Amino acid sequence: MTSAMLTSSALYLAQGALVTIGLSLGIIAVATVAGMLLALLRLYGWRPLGLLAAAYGLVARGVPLLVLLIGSYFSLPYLGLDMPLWLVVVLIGGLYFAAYAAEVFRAALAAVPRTQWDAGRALGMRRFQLFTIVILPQARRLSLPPFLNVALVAVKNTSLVSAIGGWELVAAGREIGERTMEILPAYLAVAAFYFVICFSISQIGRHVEKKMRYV
Amino acid sequence: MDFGFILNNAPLLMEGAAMTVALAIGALLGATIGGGVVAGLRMSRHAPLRCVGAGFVEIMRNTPILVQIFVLYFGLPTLGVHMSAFTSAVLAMSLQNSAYIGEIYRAGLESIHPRQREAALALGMMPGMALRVILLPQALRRVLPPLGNQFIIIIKDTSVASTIAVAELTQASKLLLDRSAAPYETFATVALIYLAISAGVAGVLKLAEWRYPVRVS
Repeated sequence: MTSAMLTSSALYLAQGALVTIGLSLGIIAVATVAGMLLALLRLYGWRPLGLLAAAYGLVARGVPLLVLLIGSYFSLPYLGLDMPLWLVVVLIGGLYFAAYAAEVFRAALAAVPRTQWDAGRALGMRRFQLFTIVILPQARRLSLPPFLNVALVAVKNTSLVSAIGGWELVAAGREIGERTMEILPAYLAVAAFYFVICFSISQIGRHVEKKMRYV
Repeated sequence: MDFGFILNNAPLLMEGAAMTVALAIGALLGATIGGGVVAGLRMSRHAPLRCVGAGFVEIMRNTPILVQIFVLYFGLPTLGVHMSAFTSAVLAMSLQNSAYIGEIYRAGLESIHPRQREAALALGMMPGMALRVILLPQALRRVLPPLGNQFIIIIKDTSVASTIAVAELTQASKLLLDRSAAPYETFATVALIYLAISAGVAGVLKLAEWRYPVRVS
């Protein structure tokens, strides 16, 4: 393999990595918003809706993401929804990881001591004010390390997109492997790209956790 | 909704489900044993072994299972190592989950107070016996809940084997999709089968947690 081929292959993989990062960010954004909604419903919502949110969590966490991706990609056109693949991935992936994010947020919100609510009420704060000013900032700090864990799994699972015909890091690696016949190095390079992305996330998580111990 | 189609193809789905269970059992066995090795390396007295253990865990946890399967199934044959799709999938899942399960074991063992080990040694037990009789029985009870979560992740990860054409449940559903225009029925059924398998495993582990409760001394 010439060095020109190596550089062009590395650049091609880097493009794939950018798509992977973009998809991951989209999925994590949807998962954060929907997960928070699910957690709020379960903790403070009207009881039947809370149960519905719990049931959603059980189902989403019991079925493989790949099945949901293949299923929605094949069946959405039957509903007359013709969405681009990346949008399907961001929505379905986001809703899938929302179930995991909801567990993280719920645990963090429940871990804020009850006395914080009592103190806020004694100061005459309204429920909404109390929640946004007192409870949420504390829960946010508690939830960050486990949330980053969910984000890490989400990044790794974007690799499934290549299995439904999308183009991202793994697909880029496959193309390079087929073109250069260097299949093992190509996939090892793909693994290295994932490692850099995921290891950075887990290091941030570890750093945050270490800092939290002194709070 | 046309569930007659599903009933006609029930044998295909059942074979797929059986293959999914076979993959999961293989990976569960591999990972529970491999996890022990990883925990042993991570807690070793010798620094080089600890480094090897830590490196293995980081590499396995920070790369996707799909890429690991591809490295084994498409990459290794270029070195002359050939494995069937089933073996590659089971091996890759065993390796990745040994890293996760090794960390679970380690957390469980480290949660047992060091004085328990000191007391066992003071009573004249050899280190191996202290581990077997005093530490492991307590640690294993404590790790049952996280172990159960990991088992369910393994069951769901078996679906990735469909990308190298192992004839498991997800692969069966793709075949049905190619044959028919019944995507909802197919996927509702497949999702239900996965849910049933995960629920079965979760139930067994709940039973184990109930049978072997954590005793607080």
